Amino acid sequence: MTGVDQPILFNFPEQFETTRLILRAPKPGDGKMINEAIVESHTELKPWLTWADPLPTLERSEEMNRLSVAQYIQRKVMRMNVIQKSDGQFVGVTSLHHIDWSVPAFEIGYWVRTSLAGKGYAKESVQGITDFAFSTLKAERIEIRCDTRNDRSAAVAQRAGYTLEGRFRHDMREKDDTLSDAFVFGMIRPEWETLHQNSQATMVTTANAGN
Amino acid sequence: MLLFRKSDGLYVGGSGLHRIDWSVPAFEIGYWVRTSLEGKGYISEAVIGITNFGFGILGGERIEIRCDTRNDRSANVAKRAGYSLESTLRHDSWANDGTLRDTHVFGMIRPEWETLQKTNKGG
Repeated sequence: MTGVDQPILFNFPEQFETTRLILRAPKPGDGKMINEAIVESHTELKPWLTWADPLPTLERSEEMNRLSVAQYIQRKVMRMNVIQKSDGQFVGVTSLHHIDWSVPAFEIGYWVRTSLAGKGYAKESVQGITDFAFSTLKAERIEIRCDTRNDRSAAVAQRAGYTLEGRFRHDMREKDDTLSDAFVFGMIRPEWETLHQNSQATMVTTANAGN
Repeated sequence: MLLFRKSDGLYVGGSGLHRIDWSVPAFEIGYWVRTSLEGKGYISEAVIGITNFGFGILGGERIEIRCDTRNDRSANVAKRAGYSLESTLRHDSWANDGTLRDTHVFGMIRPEWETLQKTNKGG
């Protein structure tokens, strides 16, 4: 297997679940719930995400959301809207972008709304989309990039089992005109297979312990 | 950019700036040299020239050079030109032999280039 030749013809389920979350492809109309979450989380998002500042209008959020629907169909960016299973509340976004289908290699991005931060949802959705990309999308490599000053984002990557591969110096210009560095974390298929076998073994052990 | 030997106008190879992000500005340098002119240091000379062009004329803040981790000669060009190894991206593309290859990313940022310029002038 060397890559996916015609990703637009590649069929796969566009929704999956983790323990507490549903991750699904965007659909028209999602803009409203996304906009509410961005408004609520403005202070926390704006240092790291360019699209969060200035605050997008409701109309702009729906426009971006429909663009995400189109990009998902094109297999160019696969954004998953994350929903809390218990009450259907919108949690945030986890996406696969900077996709190179010839490997296939993906980059994961994520954010969680402020009122649901600190529950481990970012880690849970990153682990979910990591499993999805390796098992369903035939990924060979996944990377996570974040500003070197964004400790919480780096901690999510590390907790999800990613390895720090390097640091790109001065690779982004900020709104205040300073230059920032980015960490690159990576996971390759053999590592995921090991992690996956270990977690399967843990699940079996837990199931046996329950009996 | 096309590289020509001054002495006789012979075509030496190619080099240039790609994956450009003008918002930084950041560039990547790529290069190759024709086999008959290997080993003369022409590529190092071209990379240093394009580095100076990228920082001096184009206002670059960051330049990177990527190569297959098994391509020692290419990695040496980057090191000799003063670039630092920033990262090794594992399994980020398929090599022509059908194996997944790793990629070294070398980088140079403006403050480093400025120091190099001073050192060269001082020397």
